[in-house]
Amino acid sequence: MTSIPIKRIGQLDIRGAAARLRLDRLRILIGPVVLVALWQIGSATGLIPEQTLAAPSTVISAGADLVETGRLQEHLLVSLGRAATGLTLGVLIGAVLAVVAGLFRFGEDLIDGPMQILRAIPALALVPLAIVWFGIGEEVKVFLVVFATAFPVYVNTHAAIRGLDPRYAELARTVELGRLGLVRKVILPGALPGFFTGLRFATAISWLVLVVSEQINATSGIGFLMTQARSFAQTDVIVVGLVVYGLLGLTSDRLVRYIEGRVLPWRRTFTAR
Amino acid sequence: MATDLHRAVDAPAAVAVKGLDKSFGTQHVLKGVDLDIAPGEFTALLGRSGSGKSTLLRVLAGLDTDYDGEVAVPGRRAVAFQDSRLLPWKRVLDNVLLGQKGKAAKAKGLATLDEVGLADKAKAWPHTLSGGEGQRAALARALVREPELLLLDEPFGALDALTRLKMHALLRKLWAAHQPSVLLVTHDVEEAIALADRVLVLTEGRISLDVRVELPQTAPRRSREFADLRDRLLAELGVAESER
Repeated sequence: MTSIPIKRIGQLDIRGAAARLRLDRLRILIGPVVLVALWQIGSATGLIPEQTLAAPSTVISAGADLVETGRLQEHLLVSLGRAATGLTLGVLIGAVLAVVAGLFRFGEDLIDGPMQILRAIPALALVPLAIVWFGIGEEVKVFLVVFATAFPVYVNTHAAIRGLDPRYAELARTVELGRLGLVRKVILPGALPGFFTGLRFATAISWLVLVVSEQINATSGIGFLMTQARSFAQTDVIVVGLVVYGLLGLTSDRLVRYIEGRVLPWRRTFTAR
Repeated sequence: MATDLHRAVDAPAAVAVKGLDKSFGTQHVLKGVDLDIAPGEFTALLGRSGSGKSTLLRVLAGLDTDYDGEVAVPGRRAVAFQDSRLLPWKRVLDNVLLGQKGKAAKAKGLATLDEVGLADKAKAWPHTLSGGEGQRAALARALVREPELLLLDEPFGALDALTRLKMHALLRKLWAAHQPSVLLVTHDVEEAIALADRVLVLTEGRISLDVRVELPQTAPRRSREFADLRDRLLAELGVAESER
């Protein structure tokens, strides 16, 4: 007779699982590393011409140069400032409108219709109009980010308020919480997860919009750096810009998720950090 | 129909309902319910699904205000539902303190949690509680209000049999200590007999049976009286003898 080892579900090997998770994380690096290696080999052998795509080593040295001269930091700060300003305003507007539309009948009638219509317009389609309105200064870039980020926050927060379990509102009545207490203790905290979903979308979108608007008409910012490099066919600098955008997107998403975890500790999470 | 023959009625009734009528659209759910509950009386309300028992409770709770008839209830009421209805984003103690004001509230909340055996869970998040613990917390949230009328809508319906028995004992203990009038809505006949002093049956929107529970002190659940009353109530609820 053979005995089959039975793994008891209640006794999952946590440490083993964590170690495996770390290994898994390393394993996902294999693909990128191989890709970069192939790219380097291709460049070294002349298979990938310098004008098409700079070699990884060239990109790194270009990046180092940009950092040394301070140009990268300077333009990065400008881009960060635009994203932060636009995102802050957009999130604020989206959240306030969602709360007004979610809490008041007249707000719903007044706000939700227009928001649903406007939301169908891609933010970047507003570029021509935005230039007519604001010229080509800072306002255009910030405006586009505001416009693009307000909607995901509005839609997700509004849906979260509307979708709140009505049984909680009933409970609030049985403990005589009152209208203000209902909003403060039930509706707003209950809608926070939806707000954060919107915030994560908004963060990702803010970079997307910035990438485009900084390439169309700008004298500063990462997008400008890349456009300038284009006119001199400096593919290394362009790739540096791409990497910076990628890192910005990744970092900001991580940041939002971290804040979300701190603000919503009550959420049942299936994956421990 | 629902007059109380056993209790001296010099004290005004905690609950006085006369000719309560309630419809949802074309559906006539409550058809002239008369009901008095004395202060401190533990009453169970039985009924088949759709009999209107939850509707009656909701009217008494003040959750349904669109009805005909006279309803008098105490100002301090508390409700516990089948689901614990704890707000997931508030810790257990803050859930218990929902709607409570003042500096003394926190100490009172902790004392009440201690009473239901959840003192060590005060800071826990609701999703970490078991079903029984959730209902204990819901009871604490109700009791902290010092209700004169405690309304329970199948509070143990979602619990397993063992947990339910423990909750029965806890509820009796809490009731003895605080003496609120209780209306327990349930579909569990044995639960009704074991817990209540008086059992009502709601049939098609009317109270069709109103009996006082009188069981011997020793081993009441195994007594002849328990079995007799159980059969009588099941019959009233339309359960045939072969189905019991």
